[in-house]
Amino acid sequence: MTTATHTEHHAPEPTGLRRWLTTTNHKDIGSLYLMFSLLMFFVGGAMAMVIRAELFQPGLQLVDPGFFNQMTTMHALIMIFGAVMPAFVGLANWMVPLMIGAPDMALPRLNNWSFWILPFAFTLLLSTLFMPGGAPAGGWTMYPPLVLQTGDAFPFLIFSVHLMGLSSIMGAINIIVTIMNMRAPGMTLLKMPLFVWTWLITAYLLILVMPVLAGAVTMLLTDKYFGTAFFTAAGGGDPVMFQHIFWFFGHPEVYIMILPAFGIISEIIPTFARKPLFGYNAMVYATASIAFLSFIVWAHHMFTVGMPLAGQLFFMFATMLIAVPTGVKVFNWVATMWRGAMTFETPMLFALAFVFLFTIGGFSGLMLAIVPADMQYHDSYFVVAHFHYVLVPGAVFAIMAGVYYWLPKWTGHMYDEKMGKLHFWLSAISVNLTFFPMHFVGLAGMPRRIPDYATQFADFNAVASVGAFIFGFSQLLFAYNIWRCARGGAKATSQVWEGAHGLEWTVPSPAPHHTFDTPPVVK
Amino acid sequence: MAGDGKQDPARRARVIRTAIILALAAAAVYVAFFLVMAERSKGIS
Amino acid sequence: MSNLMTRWTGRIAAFAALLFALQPSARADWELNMPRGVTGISGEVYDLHMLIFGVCVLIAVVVFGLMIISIFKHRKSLGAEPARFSHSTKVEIVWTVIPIIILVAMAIPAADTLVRMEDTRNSDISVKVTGYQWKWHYEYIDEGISFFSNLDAESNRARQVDSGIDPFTVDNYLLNVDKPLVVPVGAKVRLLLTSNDVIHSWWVPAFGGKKDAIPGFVNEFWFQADEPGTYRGQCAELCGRDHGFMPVVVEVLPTTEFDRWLADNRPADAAPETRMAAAEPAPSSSGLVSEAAAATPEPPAWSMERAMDRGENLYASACAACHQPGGQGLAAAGFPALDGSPVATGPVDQHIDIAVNGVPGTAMAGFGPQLSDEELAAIVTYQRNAWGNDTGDLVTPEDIAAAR
Repeated sequence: MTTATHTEHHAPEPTGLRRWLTTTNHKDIGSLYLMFSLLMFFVGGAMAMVIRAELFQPGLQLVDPGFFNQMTTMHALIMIFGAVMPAFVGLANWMVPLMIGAPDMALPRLNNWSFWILPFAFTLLLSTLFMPGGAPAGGWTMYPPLVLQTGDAFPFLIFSVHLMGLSSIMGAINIIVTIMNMRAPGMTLLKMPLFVWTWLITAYLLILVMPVLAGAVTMLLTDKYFGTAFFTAAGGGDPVMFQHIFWFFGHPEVYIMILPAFGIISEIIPTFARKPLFGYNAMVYATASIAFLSFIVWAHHMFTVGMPLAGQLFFMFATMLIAVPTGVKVFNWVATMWRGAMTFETPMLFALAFVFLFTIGGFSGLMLAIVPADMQYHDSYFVVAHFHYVLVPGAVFAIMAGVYYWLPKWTGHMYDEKMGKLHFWLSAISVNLTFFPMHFVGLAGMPRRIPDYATQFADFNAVASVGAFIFGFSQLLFAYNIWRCARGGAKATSQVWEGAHGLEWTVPSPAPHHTFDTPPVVK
Repeated sequence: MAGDGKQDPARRARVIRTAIILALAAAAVYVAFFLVMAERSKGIS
Repeated sequence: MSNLMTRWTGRIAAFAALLFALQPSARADWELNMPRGVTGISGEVYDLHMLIFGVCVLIAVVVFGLMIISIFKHRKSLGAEPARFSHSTKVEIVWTVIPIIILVAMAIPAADTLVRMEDTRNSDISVKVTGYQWKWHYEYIDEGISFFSNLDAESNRARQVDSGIDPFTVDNYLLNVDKPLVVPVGAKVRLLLTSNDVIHSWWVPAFGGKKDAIPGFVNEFWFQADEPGTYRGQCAELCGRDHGFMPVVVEVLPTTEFDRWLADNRPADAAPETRMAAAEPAPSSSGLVSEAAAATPEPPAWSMERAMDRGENLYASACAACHQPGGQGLAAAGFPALDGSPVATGPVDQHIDIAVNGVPGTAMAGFGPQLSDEELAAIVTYQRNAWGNDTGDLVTPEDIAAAR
C-alpha cells in the first residue's frame, strides 16, 4: 500500500490567509500549531535572555526588580502554555492520523477553533506588558495573596489562562475521539505506535486537570473582584488551599509536558538503532502508571507549607514510587539500543541527549522527593535546575528530535544535516553550561526568583548566563534550518530513514494534503 | 472537508457521542470542583 | 595518547581561564554542595542528601555506562548487525523490583529524620516571626522584646538599579540586616511563623530547612544551633518586588551573652508578664530605625524639624522601596509618585488614612499595625514637605491616633 490520495474528491481549497484561517486539515493545523509554538519559544526565550542578563553579575544593572518578576512569570507561562504544549499538540495533529491510518482528525472544525483560540489568548497575555503596573509578576503558579496584588493585568491573566485551558481541552477531546474511533482496520490498541499511546493518556490527563485550573483561577477572579474569600484567611478562606488545587493541576501538567516526549523518543530510538522497541507492553503500562501516580503526588511541591506529618510521609512515598515506571522507560530505551546498529543523525542525537539529560533531571527529582532534604532544596536554584533539566533537554529536546525526524515527511526535503548537528552540539553543551551550575548555587543557598544575589553565587551565575546566551542564539540555527528545509533541499524518500517503520512512512514525502482516504489495512 | 462526507454514519455517531461524553466530563470536573470548594471554604457568602 | 591528553588539558585550562576572565573578581567562591550546617537536623539532612546523591550516582554509572558502551560498540559504522530481541518479562520484573528495594531503603531513614524534624515539643524559647513585604518581624513571646529586621543600609544602597556601588565591596551583600534575630547556643528555639500580607518563607541553610510564613495561619519550625556564630539566609518564597531583598540573619550567642542581650533589650517600662498582656495591640516600638522608643524616657516636643528628621529615615526604610527615594514612584510597576501627588498634597485626612490603613487589593500595606503614632506622623509630615511638596502641614501623633 503506497499512495492513498484521491484528490479528485476534494473541492478546491482557498489559498493565502483564508486557507490558514479556515483550514480543517490536520496537517495545516499541525503546521500552524508548530509555527505558533516556535514563535512563542523565541518570545519566551527573549525573556529568559533578559533574566540571565540581569543575573550575569550581582547588583542590579539592567532592570527593576518588579520587571524582573514580570519576566520570570511571563517566561514560564509562555514556555509552558505557548511553546511546549502547542508543539506537542502540533506534532499530534500531524502525526496521529498518519500513524493510525486515519484520513484526518475526527472533529476537524473543533480542531480549527482549538488552534485559533491560542493567538487570542497570548495576545491578551502579552498585552499586559504594556499596561500600567506591567505584566503579572506573582509567578506562573499564581499563588494568592501575592497574585491578588496584580494590577490591571490580573483579569487578562485569568482570561488568557481560561482560553488556553479551553483550547487544550478541545484539542484533547479531539485526540481521544480520533484515536478511539478512527484507527485503520487491524490497528488494535496494542499495535498503536507509542507516540499515539502517550498522547492518548496525555489527553485524558488534560481533560481531568484543565477544568481544575480553570476553576482555581475563576476563584482568584471572584476573590479579587466580587468579594469572595476562597483563598483569603481574613474571610475564612485558605491561601494554602489554592496551592493544593494548583498542584493537583500542576503535577499532571508536568506529565502532560513529558509523556508525549517519551512517545517521540520511543519512535526515534528504534528507528536509528534498527531494532524494535524493547518491552512495548511494559512501556504502555509504565506510561499509564506514571499518569495515575501523577494524581497522587501533588503536595510534593509544597512540603514547606506546614502539612501534617502523615501527609508529608504519604506524598514522599508516592513521589518516590514514580521513579519506578520512569526507570522502566529509561531501561527499556537502553535495552532498545543494546546490540542495535546505531547511526547518529540529528534526531537520534537529540534523542540520546534526551535520555541522558532527562535522567539527570529524574535523579534530582528523586532527591527532591526526600522530604527532609527538600526542606533545603525547596524554592532554591536546585529546583530551577531540576525542572529545567526535565523541560529543556527533556521536553524541548524531544520536540526538536521529533521535528528533525518528521521534517522530511512534512516538507519532502531533507534538512541540512551538518547544520542540524551543529545545532545539536551547541544546544547540548550550552544547556548543561546553563543549568548544571544551578544545582550548585541552589545547594549553596541561592533562592529562586530573585533578581540579585549575594556575591558568593556570582561565579556560577556568570557561567549559567554565558551558557544561556549560547543556547538562545543556537536556536536561530534551528529556525533557519526549518525554513531552508521548507523551501528546498535534497528530495526525501517515502521512508526517509532506513530503519523507520509505521504507516506514516508509507505515504509519499511530502505527505499529500489528504492521506488515507481509503483506510490502509494493518496486518 | 476531508473525511467529513465520507465517514460512515455509524462511526460519525460514535465520534460525536464520545466527544460529547468527554466534554461533559470536563464540565462535570469543573462544576464538581466548584461546588466542593464553595462548600468547603464558605467562600461565597 | 599523551599528546591527546596534553591537548585536552590545554583546552580545559583555556576554558577555565575564559570563565575566570568573565568575572570581574575572583573573590567569590565556587561553592558546590549543601552546607553541613550547625544543627543536629541540618547534619542529618546533609547526610540524607549525600546518601540519595550517592544512590543516584551509582544508578547513573550503571545506566549511562551501558548506554555509552552501546553507543560506542553497537553502531552501524562498525558493522554491527541489529539483534532481533524485543522483550523479556524477566528483565522487566528485575528492573522494577530492584528500584523498589532501593527506594524503600531510602525512605526509611528519610521518614525517621522527618519525624524528628516535625517534633517541636519541649522548646526553650519561642519567637513569633511575622513576614512583611519586605522585612521580618521578630517577637520574643515571653520576653516582651519585638523588632523589625530590615535589609542593612549599605546593601540597600548598593542594590539600587545602577547604584554604581560594586556589590563585592559590601560585606555580606544582601545577606545582612539592621537587627538580627538573637538566640542562645544549644537552646531549642521554636519559631511561630505567620505573615502580615503575602506568603513568605523563612530559610537559613545552616539550620537545615525552611518554613512558609502564611497570612492567617501559624506554622512551626525549630532549630537548636550547636555553635555560636552568625548565620544567614533569605526569604525563599516569591513575595513581590523586593523578594530578593529580605534576608534572614540569626546571631547565635553563648548563653551568658544572650542573657545580657535580653537584659539590655527588654523594655524598661514593663515587667515581662504585664508586658505580654499588653503586647497584642501595642504598636509601640517598631525598631525600624533601630531606636528603642522605650529607651528615650522624655521625648522632646513635637516639631517640624523633629518630624522631618525622623521622617526622612523612616521613609527610607519603610516607603522608598516602592515610592523611590526621590518620591517619584515607579509607574511601570504601579507604584504611584508621592512628589506632587494628589494624595501627598491634598487633604491631610485622606493621606493619613492611606498610610494607616493601606489600599486594599494593591501592594500598599496599612502601616497602622507596623508603626507607632509618632513614626507615622513623622512619615506623613515628611511626605507632605519633602521634594517639591510644600504644604507646610505638620501632622502630630494625636492626628494619627485619631485616625486609627
